[in-house]
Amino acid sequence: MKSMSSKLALVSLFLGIFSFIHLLGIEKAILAIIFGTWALKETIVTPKSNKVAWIGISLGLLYLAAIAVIVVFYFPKLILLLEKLK
Amino acid sequence: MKGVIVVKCKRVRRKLSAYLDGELNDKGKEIITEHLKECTNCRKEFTILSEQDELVTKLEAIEPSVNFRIRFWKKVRESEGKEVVKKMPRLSWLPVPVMSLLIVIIISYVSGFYFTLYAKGENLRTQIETQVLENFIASAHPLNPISLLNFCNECWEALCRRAQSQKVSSKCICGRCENQ
Repeated sequence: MKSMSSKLALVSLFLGIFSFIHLLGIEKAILAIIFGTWALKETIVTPKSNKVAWIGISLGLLYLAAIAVIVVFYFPKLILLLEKLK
Repeated sequence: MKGVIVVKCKRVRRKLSAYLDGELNDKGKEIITEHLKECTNCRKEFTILSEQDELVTKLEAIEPSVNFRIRFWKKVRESEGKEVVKKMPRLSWLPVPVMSLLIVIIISYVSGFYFTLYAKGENLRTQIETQVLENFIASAHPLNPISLLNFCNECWEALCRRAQSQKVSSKCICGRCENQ
C-alpha cells in the first residue's frame, strides 16, 4: 500500500506535467506546488516520493515562471500601446 | 466480599504512583494509607514501586544529543520496514512563497492591461475584446506557454495595426505587420 506522501507526490507530478498542456488555466501548476509541498510535510517521506514531489513542484514553478516571463515581457508593451489608442 | 476487595485493590494500585509522587489530595492519601495498612499484597506492590522509584532517582541524568529525536524516530520507522529520508526543512517552505510571488506578478500585469482597456471607453473596448477573443482562439496551441506567447504576439500585432490606422504611430512597432 502506498503512503499518503507518495500519493500526494504522484498527484503533484501529474498536475505539474499537465499544467503545460492547454487545458483550462494555471490552477494545475498551483495545485502541483500545493500537493508537492503537502507531500514533503508528511511524517514519513520515502526517497522516491521525496524526489517525485520535488519534480512536481519544480514543474509547477517552471510553468508559472514561464507565464510570468511572457507576461512581464509583453504586457507592458501592450499597455503602453493601448494607452496611446483613441 | 472478595470481589469488592479485588476491585478496591485494583483502584488503589492504579493510584500508587500518584500516591508515591505526592500528587493525591488529603482524602485520597488517607484512603490509600488505610488500605496499605490492611492489604498485604498492595503493601508489597507499594514496596516494589518505591524501590524502583528510588533506583531511578539515584540514576544520573543524561542530556540527549541534538539529533536524538530524529535518529530515534528514524530507527523506529526503519524497524517497521519503512525507509525515511532526512527532510530539507530549509527548502520545503520555499515553493509556496515563490508561487505566490509569481502569481502576484502575473495578476498585476494582466489586471493592469484590463484596467487600461476599461478606461478606454466602451466602443474601443468592445472592438479590442472581440479581436482578443478571436486571437485567443486562433492562437491556441497544445502547450500552454506557447499558446500564451502566440496570443500576446497576435494582440500586439492587432494593437499595432490599430495604432497605425489611427495614425498614433507612423510605422510598425511589433515588426510583424510590416512583413505581411
